[in-house]
Amino acid sequence: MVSPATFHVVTTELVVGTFALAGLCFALKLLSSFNILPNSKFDEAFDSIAHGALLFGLLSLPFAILSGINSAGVDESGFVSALLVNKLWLSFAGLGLAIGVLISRWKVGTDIWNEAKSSIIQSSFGMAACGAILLTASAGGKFTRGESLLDILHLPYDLVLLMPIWLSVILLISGLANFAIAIRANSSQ
Amino acid sequence: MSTMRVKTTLILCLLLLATNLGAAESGGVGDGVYDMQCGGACHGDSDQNATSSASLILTTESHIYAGQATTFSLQVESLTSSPYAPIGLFLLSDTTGYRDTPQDIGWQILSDSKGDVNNYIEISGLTDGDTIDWVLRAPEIGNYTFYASIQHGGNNAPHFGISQAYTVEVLPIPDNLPRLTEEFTPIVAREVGQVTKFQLSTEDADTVVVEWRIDGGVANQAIVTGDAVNGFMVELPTANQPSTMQWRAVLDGEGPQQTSPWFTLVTNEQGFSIDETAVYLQAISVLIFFAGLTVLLQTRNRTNQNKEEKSFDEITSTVSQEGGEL
Repeated sequence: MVSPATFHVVTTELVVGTFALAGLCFALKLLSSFNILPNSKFDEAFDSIAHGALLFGLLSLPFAILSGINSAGVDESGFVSALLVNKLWLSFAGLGLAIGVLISRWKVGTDIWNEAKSSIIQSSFGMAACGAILLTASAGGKFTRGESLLDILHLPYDLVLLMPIWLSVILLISGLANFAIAIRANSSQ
Repeated sequence: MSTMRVKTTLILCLLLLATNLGAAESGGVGDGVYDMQCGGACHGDSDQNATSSASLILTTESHIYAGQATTFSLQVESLTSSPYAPIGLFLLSDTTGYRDTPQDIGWQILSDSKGDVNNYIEISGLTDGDTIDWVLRAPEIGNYTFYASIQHGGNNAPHFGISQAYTVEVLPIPDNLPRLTEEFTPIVAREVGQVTKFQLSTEDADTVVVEWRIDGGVANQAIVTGDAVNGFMVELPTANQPSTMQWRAVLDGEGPQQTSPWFTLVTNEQGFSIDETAVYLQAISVLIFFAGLTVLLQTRNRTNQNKEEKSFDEITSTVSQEGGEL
């Protein structure tokens, strides 16, 4: 049997690779949308690769999260470090952003790039998903090896901003309300 | 018939191929209360292991009073020069590999060298001549046999070794013997900065002196308040960094003076603790919120865009109806 730690390494490599590729393509697509990139023959490719890679990363992400929880022994001894808590939140934030970006692209189609504002929103959220996952990976490196490439930024991984449960519930309800409004708006169009 | 045989052979071959290669836990299995066979994962299999060069010297008092605590010291010698890490050490009551922990013969482990109550402990950086201790409480009167065992890696094979048997006789408690009660259980671990104050339950003891020391150093006296009637309260110094302290009680009364074993008290870094429900709830909330926000922003943006297009179309059609031109 493959241990959770080994499985976690495999899945995180998949997630980080695909999200990094998606993030890069979102950045290039944004530049291309504003004609900052002179050659637009890769326009469609940037769009397809960004969303395709994001989808593949999204499919691998739950396995990475679950194997991470298992390999860190969270199910047995709880969260032994603030780093683990921040890793979990960052990965869930990345997961949420990626889901939102993919649903938007699915609902709106390629028209999403026809307008400046929607291009900015799509690219920014796509890159934010990538950033959240890269930060998660960096925190993972800090947890296992005690160092990470992003150490130069002196990120406060040891700081945990735990919200009270009622605030989390409000956030959850507002998220669900956002979804409901979006679905209603879509169906009325 | 022959097809059936081929299928059976194929299935058997597949089953054989599906078996995985066994391997010892080279990184150890962690401290715990284990029977000999289970400690260190498969070291007990005589076909797979090598004999350890280490010699194990287990010592304790040969006569112990029933219900009283005593120290079992294990000295490890003749370790080869390879710094195996970790080395697993057992305190056992027999060598059958089944129900052979001290607890299985009624003894209670009060503390081990690592601030816990395990019969199997793993130590990294053990060198020749090092000693580790267990403090055990004796059960009923009788004769009991103990063994120590070692497990470690090296030369691509798990190594195993066992000590000579050591017999202990448990005697009845003499009258008026000043002693710790059978219910007293010492604290074995605490956190940095934690005040350590506890009640020392005694019987037939008029006065109590508690001594403490750090890593086998000079003994100091702890603060003891109270009396025999109301009970003795002991306060041990607070540690400001991770360390190992030992303490013992010297009990005086009508009977002969008694000194308890050195109990080990390990001070650890303050552990991180957090409400797991709140953590998971916040994670799910963040997920739903960000997903919802992204979809909502794009949808609203698209709705506004459609409205603008619609109003533009309306203006265009009005203008064209009036025969105008845009």
